[in-house]
Amino acid sequence: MQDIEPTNANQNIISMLALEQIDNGIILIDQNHKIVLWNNWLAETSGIHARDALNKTLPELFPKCIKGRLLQSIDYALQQQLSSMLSSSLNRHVLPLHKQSSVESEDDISVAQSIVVKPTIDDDDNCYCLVHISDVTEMNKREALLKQRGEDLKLLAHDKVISELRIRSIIDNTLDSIITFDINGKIISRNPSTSKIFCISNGFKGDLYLQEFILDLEANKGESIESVMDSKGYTSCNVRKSWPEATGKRMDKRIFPLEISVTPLDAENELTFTAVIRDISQRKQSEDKLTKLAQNDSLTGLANRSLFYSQLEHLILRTRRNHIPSTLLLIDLDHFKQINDNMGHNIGDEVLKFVARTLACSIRDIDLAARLGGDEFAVILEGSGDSTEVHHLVERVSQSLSTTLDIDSYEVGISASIGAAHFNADVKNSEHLIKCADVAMYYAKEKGRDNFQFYTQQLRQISEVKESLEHSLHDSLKNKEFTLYYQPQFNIKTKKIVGAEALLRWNHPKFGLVQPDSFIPLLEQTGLIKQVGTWVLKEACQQCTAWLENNLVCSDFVMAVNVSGRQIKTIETANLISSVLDDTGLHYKNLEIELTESTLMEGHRKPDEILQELKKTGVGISIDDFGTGYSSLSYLKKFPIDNLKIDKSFVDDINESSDSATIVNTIINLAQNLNLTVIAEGVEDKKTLDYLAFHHCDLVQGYFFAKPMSAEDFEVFVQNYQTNMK
Amino acid sequence: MSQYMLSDINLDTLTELFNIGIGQAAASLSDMINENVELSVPHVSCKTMKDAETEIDNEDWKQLSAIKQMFEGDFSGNALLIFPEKDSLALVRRLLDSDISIDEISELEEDVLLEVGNIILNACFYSISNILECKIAGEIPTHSRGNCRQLFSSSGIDSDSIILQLSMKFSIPNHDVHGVISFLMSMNALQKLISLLDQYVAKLSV
Repeated sequence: MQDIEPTNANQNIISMLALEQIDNGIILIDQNHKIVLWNNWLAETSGIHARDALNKTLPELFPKCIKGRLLQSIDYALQQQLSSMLSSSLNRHVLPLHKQSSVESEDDISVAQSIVVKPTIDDDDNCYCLVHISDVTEMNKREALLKQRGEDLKLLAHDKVISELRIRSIIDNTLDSIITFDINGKIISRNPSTSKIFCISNGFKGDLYLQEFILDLEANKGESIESVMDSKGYTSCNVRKSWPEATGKRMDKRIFPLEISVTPLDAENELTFTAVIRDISQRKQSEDKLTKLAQNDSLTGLANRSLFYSQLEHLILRTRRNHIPSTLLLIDLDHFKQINDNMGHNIGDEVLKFVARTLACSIRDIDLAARLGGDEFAVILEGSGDSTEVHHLVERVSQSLSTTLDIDSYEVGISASIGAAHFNADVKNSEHLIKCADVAMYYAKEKGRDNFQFYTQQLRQISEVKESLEHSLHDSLKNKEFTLYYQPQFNIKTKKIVGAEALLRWNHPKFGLVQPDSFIPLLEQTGLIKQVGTWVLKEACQQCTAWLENNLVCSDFVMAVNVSGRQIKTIETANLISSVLDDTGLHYKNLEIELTESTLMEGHRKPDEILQELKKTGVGISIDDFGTGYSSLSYLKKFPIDNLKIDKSFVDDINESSDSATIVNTIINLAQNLNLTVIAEGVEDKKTLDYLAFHHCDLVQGYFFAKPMSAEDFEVFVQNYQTNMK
Repeated sequence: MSQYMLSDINLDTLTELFNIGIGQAAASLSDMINENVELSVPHVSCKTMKDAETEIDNEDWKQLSAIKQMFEGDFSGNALLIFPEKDSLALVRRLLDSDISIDEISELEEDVLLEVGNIILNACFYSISNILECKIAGEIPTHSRGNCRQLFSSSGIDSDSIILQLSMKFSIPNHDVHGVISFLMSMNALQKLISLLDQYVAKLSV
């Protein structure tokens, strides 16, 4: 070894020096066929020490048994730079090499050899011949092992020298820790990264055990490192095992997460293991950071929608197992859009942050508050079976959210509507649960906002009916389930029937007669309002024509038809009215369109445009529910309105509240001054009627005279009434 | 096949060179297994890869076993020794001791084929470089399986390239195995070979 001057050999040859210790034979032969490298393994197997081999030729060392094929290959390499390989099968024992057959036995066995002969040239163009001898005595065993270890290691079979170097370099340079240990966990060898990862000082000399460094393998996979090391278990588990997340302990006692995989290696009848260990603490940190980013709302720091959903799913699964009821709250800020629109998004954001803080403070650690988006928040109260406890909590949250904030010298009044739903093991799924809380929340909003509502049996029925209605609504027009009811209107002085309001009723095959306030919003939501509205107009006009023709009613009888906001938005409404009048032969003076104030004001088009168009058809225009909306005096003057209809809520209160009475009184005066007919609806008793008569209200409508009725009943009623009048 | 640039006299010269090399290879093989291995005088031809593919595209030559050895030096390329796969196993069996089991044979097949290929190809390289006085360094052989196209295409030469092909017969007692050696070279490498052959012929005729 020392006999070679490194300067004479090229880099390749110097690298070969590192192979002194490997389990293969390496011979380097110069141009004069003299041996210049004879490694340890050869010294051991041939019994010829390097100092005796160097500067000799192979035939000199083995005068009797060296075979022609090897010498020819060396000739080829030195003269023509041809590489050769000698199969162990055809050249079983080229060199007389021996080794102990096993640790116990002292018998020598002959080493079967697979040989590669390669030319190699140094920097000075000197040609050398490299003879690489692999021990293939246990070829079959080795081949099985190689197959198991995968394709890339097959390299070894062809060019063991290079691949040994490569593998060495990989092991030394990888950032992962690679260690081999015996069945007791005692570490036999480790690569440089091992010291870095586990903070093992450079000079450390004592024995190390795997168990000192890896803490909780069994916790991760239900399988301990010991079970892998158990030699009995070996046959069943002689494949690679890995633990993607285990806990490691550095020499300085610091704990860190790591990934480990262990491969058993049965070499030379001794079972050892190779472990590859990766420090994943950085990866975990960035994972945690990413998770936080991905699962938290950036504005409020609360959980975001996706974390909320996944937590809710988990809780539902847990609830199914442990039967402990929990509660879901949905929280929606009232009029948040207006805060945003009127005061700017900065103020809006501050409001959201306040809500987030309030929620976070109000709940326990195990509960989860989330922002689902916009001004919508959710809270999961885990294990909150006690309804009164939850009730108090919800009440407290509701109260804290009903406050006035002082933000950037703005006074921002906020309030929230909260819907709550308890759930137990019988909960269907997260979607259904959220829907329940949603229903409760909307109910809270309907009740006038700034309150909370629990999802109850009653609410469930309402929502079920609503859902079912929504489904059946589509077929109802086709199935002729809609019908019109008529409520007569009377002249307060003459007591004569002067008109009727057409009211839509839905005769549901299952639920019977459904009230308009429960299905009109549905019609509007589903867009069916257009078709149904058209039908109502036609039906009412046809009916009116029939009654006029039969002389049931007087010739100035007026049929009042309600037109919804959705309908009025379309330009065709005026055209529709004209064509219906044409089709039914009804005179325009017999038709009156009732619009609510909100219908006029919420429309996209300007109210005067809508009204002017309607007015062109000649029909009367009545403002419904007057007094409840904007009640702008200017439009009364500006718009071509014929009637004002005083809202039922004022009429109801005439006798109880002097304020209502005053309002009614004022409206009547106002209408008369503006030359408008005024009609009071919801007249239910004699006292109210007297009051209205006294204040010169023109027309009345209400249960005191007649409730809405079907066309047939209406006809009977009119005939009876007229008979009685006479 | 003289239309592909190699003159008749060049082809004859090559046949002679290869014959010498293969003779040596046969001697080496015989020596190794202590039985008489005969290798026929090779038939040397020069053709496009496409022609070579069609020529050996018969039933026996569907699945092939090939020993490939890269060479470089004055001219570079790949040399392939190709056998039909079923013959390759028979050859291995004949070459190995009879007491080796069938299981072991398949394990050792590749190893043995590599050496047989190595001996024959090295002999050809040796003979060419020695006689034409040029340098060719040979790499360690590798073994591959597949059809003709797959074997050729892995050498990165397109199907219009010219290949130098040697057909020959292995005779081992009671068995004949046909094999083909293909030298896959770039046009430049082939030109170089031709000029070396021309020089050699010129020297002989002086």
